[in-house]
Amino acid sequence: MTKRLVIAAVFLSLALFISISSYVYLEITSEKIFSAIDELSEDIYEENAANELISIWDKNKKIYGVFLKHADADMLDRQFIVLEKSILEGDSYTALLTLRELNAYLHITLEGEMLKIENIF
Amino acid sequence: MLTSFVRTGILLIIVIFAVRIMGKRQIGQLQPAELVVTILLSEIAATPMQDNDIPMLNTVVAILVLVSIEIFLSALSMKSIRIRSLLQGNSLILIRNGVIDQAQIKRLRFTLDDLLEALRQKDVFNVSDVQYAIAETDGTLSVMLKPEKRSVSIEDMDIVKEDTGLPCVVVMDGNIIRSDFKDCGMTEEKLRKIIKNTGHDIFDIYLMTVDKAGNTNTVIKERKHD
Repeated sequence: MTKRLVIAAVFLSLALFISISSYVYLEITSEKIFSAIDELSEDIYEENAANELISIWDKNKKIYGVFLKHADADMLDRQFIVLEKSILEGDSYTALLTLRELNAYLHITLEGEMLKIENIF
Repeated sequence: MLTSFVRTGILLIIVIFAVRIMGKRQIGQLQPAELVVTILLSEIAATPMQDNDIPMLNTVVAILVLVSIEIFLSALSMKSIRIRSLLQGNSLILIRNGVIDQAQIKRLRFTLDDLLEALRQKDVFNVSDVQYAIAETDGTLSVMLKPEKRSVSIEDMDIVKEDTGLPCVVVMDGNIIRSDFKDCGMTEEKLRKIIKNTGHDIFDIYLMTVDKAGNTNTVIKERKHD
């Protein structure tokens, strides 16, 4: 039984580690993304303005796919592609619209992952 | 599709491993808590096998938590009688000296048909033959017959019978199985001598068992007929 208890303790620690690390990871990266979105909202008309935001997303999108529902991660990825394309084409109206949509979608998606009473129940 | 294939393989291995970790009790006699965990395990693992949209990590975390809590609960119930009776319930006597305890039957929401069926499965066809019938926590019924209805045992007849122990498998499909040698007092040298006496090569032997008294049972491989 002692051996089993040790395995159970390892399992529980592993589960706790995965849960907490995904929570912390999403919290930290989403902070970075949100601040990059805020900056971009002010300089959306500048060339290469979205570089920082896009590079943050490119670095983290695979891990987002591991932690989030794949449909949500794909949706976010699609929004980033539209944003990048519209900035490249100089279509600042679509870029701003996409940025706002992206901001809202990211907020909703991450809200669902946070440890909150409303999410638990 | 290939993703489903890989995910299913991984999840299957994880679930098999989880059930093994929970112990052999899982398979044979499910207590209420174990039954719940087993059903939940299969349910949790089955959904992401079909739906690639669900992150597999969520499933893995859920399985790890379920298995570890189940092990902790069973350890707790081994330590404390109170927790044990809370998690597993208590066994209840349904028949005493041939008399059915109707209050207990009602409490368990057992019907008379259920009781009679369970008795019949124990080869008991008359309630008055039963000294005690106990509803166990895993839902099975244990029956103790009245002394005059029990089968005669060797002890009753004062016969002395040598204990031959459990027959050990020493050769299986042409291979020597050494793991049980100690239990049946066998050595490889002794075994080779026994095989030689059968007049067969070891590769011709499909199964050979030996008990403590040295009694052997040999099954020779069937030859393929073209």
